[in-house]
Amino acid sequence: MKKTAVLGMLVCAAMMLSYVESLVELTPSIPGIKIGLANLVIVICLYRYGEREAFLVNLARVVLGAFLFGSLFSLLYSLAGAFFSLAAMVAGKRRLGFSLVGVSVCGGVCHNLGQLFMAMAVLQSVWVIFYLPWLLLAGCAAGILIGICAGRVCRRLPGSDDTQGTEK
Amino acid sequence: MFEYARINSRDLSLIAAVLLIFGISAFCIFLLFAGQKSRWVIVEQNGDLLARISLQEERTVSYTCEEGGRHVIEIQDGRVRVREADCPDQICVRQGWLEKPGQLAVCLPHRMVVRIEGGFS
Ligand SMILES: [Zn+2]
Repeated sequence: MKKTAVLGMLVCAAMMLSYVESLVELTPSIPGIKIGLANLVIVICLYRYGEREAFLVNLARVVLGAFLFGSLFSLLYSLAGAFFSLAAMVAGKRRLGFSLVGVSVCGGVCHNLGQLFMAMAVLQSVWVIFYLPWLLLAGCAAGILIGICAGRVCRRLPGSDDTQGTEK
Repeated sequence: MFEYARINSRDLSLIAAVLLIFGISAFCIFLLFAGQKSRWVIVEQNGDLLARISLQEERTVSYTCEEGGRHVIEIQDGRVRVREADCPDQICVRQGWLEKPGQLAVCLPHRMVVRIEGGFS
């Protein structure tokens, strides 16, 4: 029961981050494609609770976020970015031996790539590839930043005495 | 217990790899448009060509498509912008003026792309 409440709070925090991000245009030259600050919450969730929980929180925040601040249309992009990013983070964490920073860089870069591919498919235009270098750079920078923040948050959260958290 | 929080060499290789791909792709895009001059404004919707207008003209054109979606495209002083649009996000309008070959403004809700095509000479 306590875990459900915490996950609910995490969804809430992720949505606040998305909202803040929608107010501040971080990438004015590449509008519509977000850096994905909300990934911070997903990274924390992935490390503190696990893959299933991260998936659920991700789904909840994208769907609720689209209904509150976006449209059904923006849902498509958010979903593409959010799940491509989560899949990459799970792969990076399980197999590739990255630390939290590496995992979050995987997530940041793939968040942007997912949205770019979705934009390419919808617009049926290859010219959107013009944005690729900047998206890689932005995703990498956001990933490093989020990884460092997530590491600090994880260290400060009550860890060892936390019964429903990481067992290790 | 939070050993995973420390950056390791694999992370650094990943970051280096991303930066390398960034460099290569930026260089390729640079080469693709290097030496070109802005010549045409291309307006595409759903991948179909709607218009190809010379950048030398001073024109304001309006496009309306059947599924809804109106865009006013303004060409002035060798630059182009989406001046008005009725899309919910206004992202295409906020792109502002485009003047270099390859630059583009996209409207995701209306699946429209305005881009500058370059040419030599
Ligand atoms: Zn638009």
